[in-house]
Amino acid sequence: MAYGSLVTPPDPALVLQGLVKRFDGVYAVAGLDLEVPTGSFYGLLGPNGAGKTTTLNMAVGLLRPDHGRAIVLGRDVWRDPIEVKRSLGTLPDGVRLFDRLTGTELLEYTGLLRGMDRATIADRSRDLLDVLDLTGATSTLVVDYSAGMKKKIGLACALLHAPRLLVLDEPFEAVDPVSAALIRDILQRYVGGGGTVIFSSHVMAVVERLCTHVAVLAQGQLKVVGTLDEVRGGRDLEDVFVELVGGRTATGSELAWL
Amino acid sequence: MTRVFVRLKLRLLRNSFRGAGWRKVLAVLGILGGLWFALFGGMLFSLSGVRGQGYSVAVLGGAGVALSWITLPVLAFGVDETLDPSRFALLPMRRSTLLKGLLVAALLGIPAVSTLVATQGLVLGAAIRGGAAAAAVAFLGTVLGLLLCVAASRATTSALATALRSRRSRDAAMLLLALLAAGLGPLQLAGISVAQALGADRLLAAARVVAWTPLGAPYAIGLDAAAGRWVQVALRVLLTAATIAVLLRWWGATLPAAMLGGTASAGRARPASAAGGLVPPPLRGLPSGQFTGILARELKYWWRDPRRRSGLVSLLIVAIVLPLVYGFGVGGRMTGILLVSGAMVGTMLANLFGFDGSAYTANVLVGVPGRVEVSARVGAISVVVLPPVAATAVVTGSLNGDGRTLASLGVALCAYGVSAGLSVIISVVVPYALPDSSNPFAMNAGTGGLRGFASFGPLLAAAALAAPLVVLPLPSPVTLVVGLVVGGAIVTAGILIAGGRVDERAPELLQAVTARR
Repeated sequence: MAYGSLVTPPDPALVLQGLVKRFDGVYAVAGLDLEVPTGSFYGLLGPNGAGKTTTLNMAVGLLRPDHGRAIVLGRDVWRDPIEVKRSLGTLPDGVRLFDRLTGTELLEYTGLLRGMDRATIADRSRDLLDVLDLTGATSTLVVDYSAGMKKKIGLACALLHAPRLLVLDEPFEAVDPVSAALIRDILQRYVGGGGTVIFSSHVMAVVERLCTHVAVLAQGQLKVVGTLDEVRGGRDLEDVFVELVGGRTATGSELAWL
Repeated sequence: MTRVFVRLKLRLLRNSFRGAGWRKVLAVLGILGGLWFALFGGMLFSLSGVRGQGYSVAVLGGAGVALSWITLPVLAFGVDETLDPSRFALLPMRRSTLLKGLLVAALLGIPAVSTLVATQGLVLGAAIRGGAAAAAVAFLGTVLGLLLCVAASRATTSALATALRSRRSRDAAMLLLALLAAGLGPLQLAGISVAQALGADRLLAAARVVAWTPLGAPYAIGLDAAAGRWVQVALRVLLTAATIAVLLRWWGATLPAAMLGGTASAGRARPASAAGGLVPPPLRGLPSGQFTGILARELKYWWRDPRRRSGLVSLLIVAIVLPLVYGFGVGGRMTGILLVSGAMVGTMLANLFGFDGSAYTANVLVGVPGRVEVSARVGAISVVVLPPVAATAVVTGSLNGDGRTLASLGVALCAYGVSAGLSVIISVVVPYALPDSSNPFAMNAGTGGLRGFASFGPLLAAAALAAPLVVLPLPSPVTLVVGLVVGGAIVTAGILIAGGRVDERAPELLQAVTARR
């Protein structure tokens, strides 16, 4: 079985080469190259509509790129999808879960799809539900979960088969501070154990605290890529970010009537 | 302020012509439908000018229109939510202002305009019978009638939407509505035969009674004026106006609740019935894996997802009741009717992935092989529908008394197999998204039409391939075997073709079934 081992291979965990995606003639992602080193904690930053979700969806095989390649652990996502998907754990954003299942049932379903045996599924589900503080909701339908609980059960589904690369789209959105701390903890342990995480966010504080590497995306193109310290250059990450994406800071003269 | 609402509504109507091509087509179809109703209805209502039955035409026809305004939004079409009260929740606006604006906006839709045009036939009829004065009174009646229709339909849907706030009651309501919709056909037949049995005199008597109810009153006053019954005209106008006032008050009273929006919390969360895990005990023997997982989840979903459940239940009811009704009532060759019922149930598979919506992402992320994906889904629905369909075939077959029970079973299963095989191909070639709404009354204008279109092909094909089994005088067991072979072959072919397509185009399939916005 391919699940269960966290061996560190020499290749980068994720390579994106010249990714392009257009929707109705508008470039959502316009030629994007990115290399995520194995064992890194990679933050993909960008304002709303920058193309973060489009990029991540193309990287995990949910959205076919118009041009370019996505290579996970040395394998092309679009040539060898089944092998690639085996080593990938993904938390997509803005999609429904199979929410008419209970938390336990959803995990069992995910495990069966991943080809895991029932005993392993049961053990790991119990662990995950326990750690993510969802034990009280095991017999509640996911549709009745709060937004934060849905994020957590989605994360549990992504972690269940012990993937080597985690791709998380907005994992901290709608999550309360306590749960966010919990998720941060789990992810840090995962990276410490040899796993790789790439996640999108626009919460600077989380990114500054967690990431080893940062890429800033705006209008479908990467504005800057590097380790956290390189990108920050001794400044506040938020200032760097706002400057890079072309935002402006209020001078105080506007909205005088307010 | 009302002018702002009018402009907003007109802008929204104009914008319905923008966007994707099929939306434009639907908008044009809606206008054509309204036009057709306006002209055809106008012609029918102008028959009120005829002596004798004219009165029944005006009053009963008008009451029918009013009744449709109240029931159809609830049963079939959903509410036109272009001006959703909850959108105005944050604006500092008096309730009366909002009410006036929403009422005027509702009057500007295609249904309202075409109703007004159609009822102008009454003005024509009154003019023929009583000249200009009667025509003017009839016109007043049509305007009052339209106001009553709009107010009544808005008030009922608004009140119901408020009552159906929690997910559980919404789920239950969807099931109930599906049952009602399934029962409409038989009810219609009953209504027609009752009308025939009553005869013209009784109809006129009924019209006289209905004319004193708010539903019929506004449509009676034109002919009353023509006949010089001015006291009755005055009383009926009063009755109608008072009813409109009451309805508007009621609507106004439900508005604050409706403005709170449709997605309030579902109340207390319900523990799921089966704590025994995803895979039910009878399936535990299957090898653990993707097929079993999808099969088990689909089985749970056919019951737990209200959209699937209501579709399934109403189809099954028709598929079971239809042959039995014909079996007892009509007699003759029932195998033909079994063909229809088997084929109809097969069309349940015509949008396999659309029910999942964006949740299908989970399967794409894993990369489930297409054949496993499709065969598990076909397996799940077959486990649910085949026992009742087979039982119906056996019961009606043996009721027939010609010793062709096995042949009946063969025809039903063959029709199901052919229809299912084609439907799964359709479900991957032209998948479509269902609206991602929490309001049971909000439905995609196009979904019903598309769905009917998508299921028409399999029905025809099943009829073509299974009809020889009905007609040819084969021995009964041979018919069963041939039916099983043909049906099984087409299902298998369907699974292979659809599975191959899923392997190639799973991401595109996911895009297609993901609801926009």
